[in-house]
Amino acid sequence: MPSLFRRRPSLALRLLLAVLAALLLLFLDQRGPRLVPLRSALLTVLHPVQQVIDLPFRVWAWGSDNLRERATLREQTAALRDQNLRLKLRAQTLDALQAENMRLRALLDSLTRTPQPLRALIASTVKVGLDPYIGQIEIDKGSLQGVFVGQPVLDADGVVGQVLHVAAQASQVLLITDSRHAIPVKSVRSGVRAIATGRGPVGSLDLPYLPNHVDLEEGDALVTSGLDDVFPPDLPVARVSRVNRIGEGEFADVQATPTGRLDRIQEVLLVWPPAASADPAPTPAQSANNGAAPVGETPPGPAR
Amino acid sequence: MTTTPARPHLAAIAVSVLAAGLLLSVPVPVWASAWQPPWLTLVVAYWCLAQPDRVGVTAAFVLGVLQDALTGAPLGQHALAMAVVAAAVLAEYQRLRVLPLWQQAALLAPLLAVHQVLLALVSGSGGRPVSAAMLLPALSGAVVWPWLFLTLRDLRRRAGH
Repeated sequence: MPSLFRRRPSLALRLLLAVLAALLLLFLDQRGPRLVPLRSALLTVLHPVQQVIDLPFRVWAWGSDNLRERATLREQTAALRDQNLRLKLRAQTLDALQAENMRLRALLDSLTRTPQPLRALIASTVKVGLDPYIGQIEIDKGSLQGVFVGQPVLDADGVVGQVLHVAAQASQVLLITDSRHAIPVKSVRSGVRAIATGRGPVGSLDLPYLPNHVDLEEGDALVTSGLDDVFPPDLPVARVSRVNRIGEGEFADVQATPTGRLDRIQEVLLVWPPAASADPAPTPAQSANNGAAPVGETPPGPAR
Repeated sequence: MTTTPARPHLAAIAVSVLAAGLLLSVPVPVWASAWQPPWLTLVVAYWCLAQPDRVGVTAAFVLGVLQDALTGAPLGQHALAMAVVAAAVLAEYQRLRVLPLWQQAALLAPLLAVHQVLLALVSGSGGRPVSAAMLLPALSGAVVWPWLFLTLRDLRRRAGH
């Protein structure tokens, strides 16, 4: 029975300590990178737990893969063969274009970086811990595979996000649609540069602070501009879905839909940007020529 | 209750925590994800009620930090909210235990609402959008409580008590 009388103060004290510890963690977490090692350690320790939690999902996927009907499989194979053929065709024309491009660059005797192929690694998403209010996914590759914080993550259709936390065998990816994320883009058609910020977990992107007369139209493809030194240039990001010029104030209300299928990601590509030995600083002119430069076929980059 | 061996209970606790993690990561459509009950918090609340000597504020804090690390939330967010829920349950567990399940659920709803508000406060201070929809899990959590309680009680009894 004496425990009855000892319990209450100790309960209040324990709660106080827990709350203080939580607040300290929150404070440190929001103020800087001091907790990064702790987070990595926790994720590494939790890796086996994640595997256990993920097991039923993998068994399910494996089962439904094995139980698929023959007809479906044949259909799929046919579709894939078809797609492969078309992609090969496109790759051939791309090779030709690249060769031509190199020739022209050599003729121009420019100092620009020649575009190098990107090194990439395929990672699968782990179905653990999807908070509906956080635009974040977890993948099964970590620092052991050379993943680093800030690494660009793509899927087959476009940019997905960038690596936020890294553990030994897993990392967390911040999606471009998260409200904490911003990515510099440019319009393929008009060359207009903008920043695309996230609007919510799997929603769309905002292009804030663009003047009302900005040369953007619905359906314009937006690609990375490469000005941030995080994402390599010319990767597809989004398509403009709405341009509203009658909003109050002098800014147009522009929204875009990501081309990557962020709500149903299965596999992603981790990309290592080509080691830019001569890393040219962005010229001041670039920030000023919004809407002036027709881009067309010219590869973008610091040369212009 | 004092003579029960510790191991079976630890196993039951571990299984239920893993099951909560599984439920948290079941892929659901976007509209349903707003209704997803805070499974881990509910499981912790159950064990605070059933085994107040084993699971308390400290366990809630640790599990909360682990959930934060897993979900990529700010470290300490769920730890804070779950520690508060655990403390409230522990303070009243003797009275809560004898109530019928629906009354437990009715008392749990405001507690879970506090839990959600704490989560929302942390989210808001980190600059994330906060909406009233964040209170929905408190409702769904109270609704699933009776089933969760019966399931976990069954698990606990099978585990050796």
